Formats: sequence, structure tokens, C-alpha cells
Amino acid sequence: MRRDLGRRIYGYLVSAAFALFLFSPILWTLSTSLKQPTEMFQWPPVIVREPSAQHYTAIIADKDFSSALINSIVVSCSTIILTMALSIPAAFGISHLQKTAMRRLLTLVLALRAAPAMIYIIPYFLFFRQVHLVDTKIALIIVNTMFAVPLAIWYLSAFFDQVPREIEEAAMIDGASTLQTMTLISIPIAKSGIIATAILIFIGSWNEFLFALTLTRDDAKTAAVAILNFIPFEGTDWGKAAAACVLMLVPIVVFVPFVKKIRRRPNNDRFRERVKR
Amino acid sequence: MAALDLHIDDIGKRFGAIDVLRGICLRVAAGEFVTLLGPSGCGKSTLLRIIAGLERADQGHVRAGGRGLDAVAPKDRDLAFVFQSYALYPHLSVHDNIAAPLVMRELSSLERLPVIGALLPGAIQRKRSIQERVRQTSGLLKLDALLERRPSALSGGQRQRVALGRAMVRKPKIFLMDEPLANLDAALRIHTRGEIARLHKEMETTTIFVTHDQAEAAALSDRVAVIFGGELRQVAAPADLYREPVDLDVARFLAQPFLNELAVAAPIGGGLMIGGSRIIIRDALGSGLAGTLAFRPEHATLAEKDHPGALPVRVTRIEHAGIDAHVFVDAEAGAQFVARISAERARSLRDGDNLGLTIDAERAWFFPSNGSRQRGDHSGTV
Repeated sequence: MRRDLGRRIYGYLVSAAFALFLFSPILWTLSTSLKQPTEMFQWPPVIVREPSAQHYTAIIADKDFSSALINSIVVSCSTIILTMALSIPAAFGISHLQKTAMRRLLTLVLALRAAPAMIYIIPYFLFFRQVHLVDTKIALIIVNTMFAVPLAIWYLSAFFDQVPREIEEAAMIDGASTLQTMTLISIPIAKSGIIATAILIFIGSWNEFLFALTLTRDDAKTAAVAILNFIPFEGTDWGKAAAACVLMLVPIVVFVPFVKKIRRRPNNDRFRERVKR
Repeated sequence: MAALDLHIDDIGKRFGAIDVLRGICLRVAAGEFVTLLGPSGCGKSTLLRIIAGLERADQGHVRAGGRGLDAVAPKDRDLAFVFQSYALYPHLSVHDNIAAPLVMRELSSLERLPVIGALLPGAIQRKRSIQERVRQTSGLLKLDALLERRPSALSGGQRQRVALGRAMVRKPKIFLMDEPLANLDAALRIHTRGEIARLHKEMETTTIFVTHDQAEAAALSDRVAVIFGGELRQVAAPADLYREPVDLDVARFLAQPFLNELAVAAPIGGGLMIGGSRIIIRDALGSGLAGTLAFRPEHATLAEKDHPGALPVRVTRIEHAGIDAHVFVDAEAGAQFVARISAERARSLRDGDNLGLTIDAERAWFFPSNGSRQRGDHSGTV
């Protein structure tokens, strides 16, 4: 009993330390984004005395930032669609390979991915300049997709591995082609894993900074880079920068509970409706 | 309905260094119910998967109704497969599970779409015909009340019936069933066994049924094919298999729970020596090799100690089993036997009683050490 209590206290202490370390910057940013400019540098610091949306309205009105936000949405969504279109069939295929050679190749690709992104920046910049794609969303979508696909295949093939082979065999005897087995049976069964992977890809693309910084200037700038607008040489506009960061956080906060929800309900109702009448 | 005959010709399959199947030849007549019987790991399921096209044989051919199937995709073989795990589609209702083979075969991917599908010419009639057949099948299997449920909301027996329904609905020419009853409890297994027999009688579809349960095999089959270690040992009607097992493995497998076995020296004129007694076994006539005497408990009786031709034995244990009882006895030279006698008779026996054991000389078997008995059908033809 006593030892249990000790363990619990230890557990809470460790968790609290982690939570403090990880959440306090977020809370600080959130409170800064809601503060009046006068409150911002008060000492001793205050949390928020009178919440104000002025920074949010200001950055939404800011053409530069709102178009960057739209760029981010377009780039991230396109990256998801393209990545999924490429990696779902590939992962399904790899999951059904008899030989493990392909899986080892995938490990190699993932290992290459571990190289510092800096290595890629200059060659990719030169390449995209050559094909006149610098400062276009297409360049960012291509780069993000290229980096996301190996990871997505890696995750998705594990999810396809979990689909019972007998169910796929039943479909093949029932009259499904390999493509139909994938679309009508395996994808719906692996649906929750596929959505979780898509969300991870989205988050990766949404937060991607280095390539967005180097491959874009104005037209295709994403929100992650546009935040820098509020940190110019003349002095940082802390309120706007904080509000921009909070806006960047919104889709992630929205998706996390969603991932949990789909874990609980692995069935696909839409498919069911489709087969019936 | 037109059923197809099935010819399995010299099938061989290796997994790595292991020969899973060796030279399997089997002919199944149209409409026949044949069981592949054997212990787990004997290759019977692999053979079934080769017939279905889910596994490729390393050698040999499968033909159905004269058509070579080796290069044919599973879906084009006109057969249905019932898996031990049922392999129902977890994301589809019972209705859609049963409809799936029809939907996949008869509707194009456009016609499967919810709104556009209904606008395509002919799609409505086709969908109605699918509905009709699903309803017929679910009626036959008493699944009408469950059509809207997901497999996860069904009991094992209900899932089993859905799996049967999905297999039956498109009226295949051949049924393949891989231990479909193994996951059911005992009472339900016997009930479902009866259902399968009834459905086979109604539909007269050629059926290959895999099991390791000899009682199931005997109850259902026209013929039983016994497989051991990747080899087809014997193909015979259940009654013949019971009477004339071709070798000791088959005899053992079909004599559960007990088979009396005793290693004996080469018989002389059909006479075998057990301790100091000599008994004549018809099966041993003409054989000059050492081997094994085997007989079922029901082919031995207990008599008085000094009964002529009886082995002197001592009762060690009596196991009552309803109408019968198994009496375990010790004979000379450390031999142990089991006799099955009526429970009535067993009540008068006590442990330690000295009695005489008489073996039915017509029905006992002698398996020479070089393998098969002389008799028994091993040809595999109808």
C-alpha cells in the first residue's frame, strides 16, 4: 500500500514535469495572444486580465498571413491526397509480398530520410529553380509528398498486415480482383489506421518549415514561414506572432481527439450503404 | 444443379525444405461429398487451398469438369470456400456479407455507387435479383432476423451460417470447407453437421470438407480421404474405412479413443504369440513378417478365465461410458488391452478380476512392419 502510494507520487511527479515542460510554452503563447499590448511586458507577469481578440483580427486581416494560411491548407491537403494515392497501393502490395527484400528496401529509404534535411536544400533549390517551380505550391507539395510517402508506406503496410489474410482470400474467391479486394475489403478494414496515417502526414506537412522557407518567397509562402513576418528586425510583434502560432495549432488540436475516436470504431458505414441497394 | 467432378492429379507442394504434400491423386465424382481427414499439419488444408487456387502446387494438376484449373484465378474456378475462421467481412452487415459475391460479380464499380448506380440501365433489375437471392439464402439458413447486424454482433453459430450463406448464394459448382465446425461448441457442431448434410442433399454440390474429427468425417461423407504426413493413405466410404484401415496410422486415427496394439513376431499360419498363448487372426494368414496386432475395443470380449482360446487377463480399471464400458486389462508379458462391453456386464466386474480375453479373429488386423495390409482400397477412384 505504502509502496503503491510512493509509486503514484513518483508517476505524478514525472508526468507533471513533462506536462510543465511541454505545455507551458503553449499556454504562454495562448495567453500572450489574448493579452493587451500593455499587459505583455508587465512585471510580475499576469495571465490574462482582459482577453482581447485584437491580434487575431489583425492577422486575419493581414493579407500576407491569411494567404499563407490558405497556402498551408492547400499544400497540406494536396500532400495528403497525393501521398495516400501513392502509398496505399504501394503499402498494400508490400504487405502482400512473399519476399522480405522489398521491406528491407523500405527500411533503407527510411534511413535515408533520417539524413539532415539541410543536405537536400541546396540541390532541391537548384533543381526547382531550373524547372521554374521555385515559389510555387507545386514544389512544396512535391517535396512534402516525396518525404511523406516512405513513412506512409511504412505505417500503412503495418496496418494492411493486420487485415486477416483469410478475409482477403474470401474476397478473391467471392469474385474480387486484387484491386477490388484492396478497395472494397482491405481499405475499409484498415480504415482507422489509414486515417491516423493521413493525420500524421497532414501534421508533418503543416508544420514543415525548412523547405517552405527555402523554396518559397511570397506567392507560395506557408503559415509556418509567414509567422516570421511578425518577427522582423524592427522588433517583434509578440501578440500577432503568438496569435499566428495558436492558429497553426488549431487543426492539430482538432485532429487529435478524432484519431482517438476512429480507433474505437473501426467500421465503415459508407461502404455498407454503397453495397446495399 | 449441375455439379462438377474434380480430378486431383499427382499434387505436390513444398514449403521450404518440407514436403507438405506428395503425389496426391484423388477423383471426386460430381455431387459427391468427400472429406479430407488427418491430424493437424498433415497437409489437408494446403490441398484444399490448392484446389481453391489460393496456393500454387509445385507439381500436379487440378481439373474440374474436365477443365484444367491450374492457371485459373480463384474467382473464376466456380467454387466457394468456407474458412475455419469464417472470414466474414467485418465492416459489412450480414446481408451485405451474403450479397458480396453477387455484388462483386454482377455489378460494375459504377453500379455499386449509391446514387449514380441506380440511374444506370439494368442496374435496378440486377440489384433486385441480388436482393431476391440473398433473401432466399438467408431464409434457408434462418438468418432473416439478423440481416442488418454486423458479424461482431453474432454468435459463433450464426457467423458460421453467414459464412455458409455467402458460399451458397451464388450456387457454386464445388464447395470447399476448411474445418468449418472447429470453432463451435460440441452440441452446435453436431447440429450444424446435420445442417450441412441437409444442404448438401438439397443442392447436390460437389463438396470437399476438411476436418481432423473422424466422427465428423464419418457422419457427413460419401467417402473419406485419409492424409498423413502429406500422403494420401486411403480413400474409402466411412464404413469401409472403419472395417479395413490400410495401415496402422489410419487404424489409430479412426479408432479414437482407444485402439489395442501389440507388437508381435512373424505369424506362423496366421497364429500370433501373445505371451504363452497363440491366437489365430485371419488377417495374419499368409504373412511372414513381424508386425503389429491391432483390434478395436469392441472387437474383443471378456469371458471366463479358462475359456478356450482366450488370453488370461486381469482387470485393472473400468470406465463407464453410457451404454457401454471400457474395461482395461493386463495380459501376460506386460501387454495391456481395452475391451468394450455392455455397461450391464461391466457392473459385475471388479478391479483385479481374472478373466479371459477373446479377440474377434475375423475383425482384428495384422499390420506387417513393412507398411500396408494386403487388403483395402487405396486406388482413390470412384
